[in-house]
Amino acid sequence: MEQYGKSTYNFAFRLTQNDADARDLTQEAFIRVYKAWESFKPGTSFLSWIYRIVTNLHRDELRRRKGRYQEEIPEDNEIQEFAGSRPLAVAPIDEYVDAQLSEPLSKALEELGAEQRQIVMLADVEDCSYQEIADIVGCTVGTVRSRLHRARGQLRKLVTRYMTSPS
Amino acid sequence: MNQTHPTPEEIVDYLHGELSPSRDAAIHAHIAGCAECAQARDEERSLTELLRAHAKGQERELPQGVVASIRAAVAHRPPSLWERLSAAFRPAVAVPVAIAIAAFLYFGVRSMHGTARASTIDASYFVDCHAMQSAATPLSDDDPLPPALTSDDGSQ
Repeated sequence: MEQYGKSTYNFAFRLTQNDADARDLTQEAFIRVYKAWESFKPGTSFLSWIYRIVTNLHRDELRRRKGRYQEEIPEDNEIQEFAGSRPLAVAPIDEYVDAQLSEPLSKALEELGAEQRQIVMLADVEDCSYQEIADIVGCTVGTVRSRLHRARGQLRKLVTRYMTSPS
Repeated sequence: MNQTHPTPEEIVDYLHGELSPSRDAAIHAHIAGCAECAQARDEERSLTELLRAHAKGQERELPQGVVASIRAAVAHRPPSLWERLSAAFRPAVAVPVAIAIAAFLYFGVRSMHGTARASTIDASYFVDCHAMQSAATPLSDDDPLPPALTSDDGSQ
């Protein structure tokens, strides 16, 4: 738990975007790991296994809360383009790391659908391969690919929107 | 240079190392000579770097309360059926139980077997049956008694 607890908690936090839910997810995920320890196959990635548990728990939780929380943005529902918006600037990485981008990105990630957010986080932050993501999320590599592309497109537009109109 | 520009999706796959080696090499060569595609690659790469930097900025230590809650939950949760079965079959319990079952099977079956044999072998059973049959059909051709017990004139 000492080794993987922090990674699991941070992954849960990125999915849920709040501390209380991330704590609950982490706790429940580790309890399930203890219960199902015999089913873990030596030689496979423990992190992928526990991420899969966290992902499933998060999905179940979202289903339970459906109605109280905002519905996910349908994958084929392109967000509205705002007049006068400029594309995300092509600039050195250092400019992106600027704190000014942090808030638009946070908002954009919150608005992104949960499934798309999971895939973006796994692909770009956790550096998982498409196959690993497919195993974690429980879908095909083709679905991972298409969801990732849509998610990145949505993210780009949302960040641009929040940069031009912060409110 | 390959004049066919890679699609934006291919550039994302390229950055994530998800293309076949031949396609990866082709796109790598193309981008080296195509400013437009190099710009598209830089945009995609920047988005990834932005996401990583943002995640790093948000990174937190695992709260100690979570660890304590997990340990408490694991310590107090009721044992599963499998765990109860496993506990029941641990050697300290399983060996005496196995001996008791073996002893029961050996002596129990043996005594049952002996009783059954005694009841079926008992000669009085046949004599009783024979007497009952004779009483039920006294005029039957079947001799109620063996020939050695009858007189020459047929009287008993």
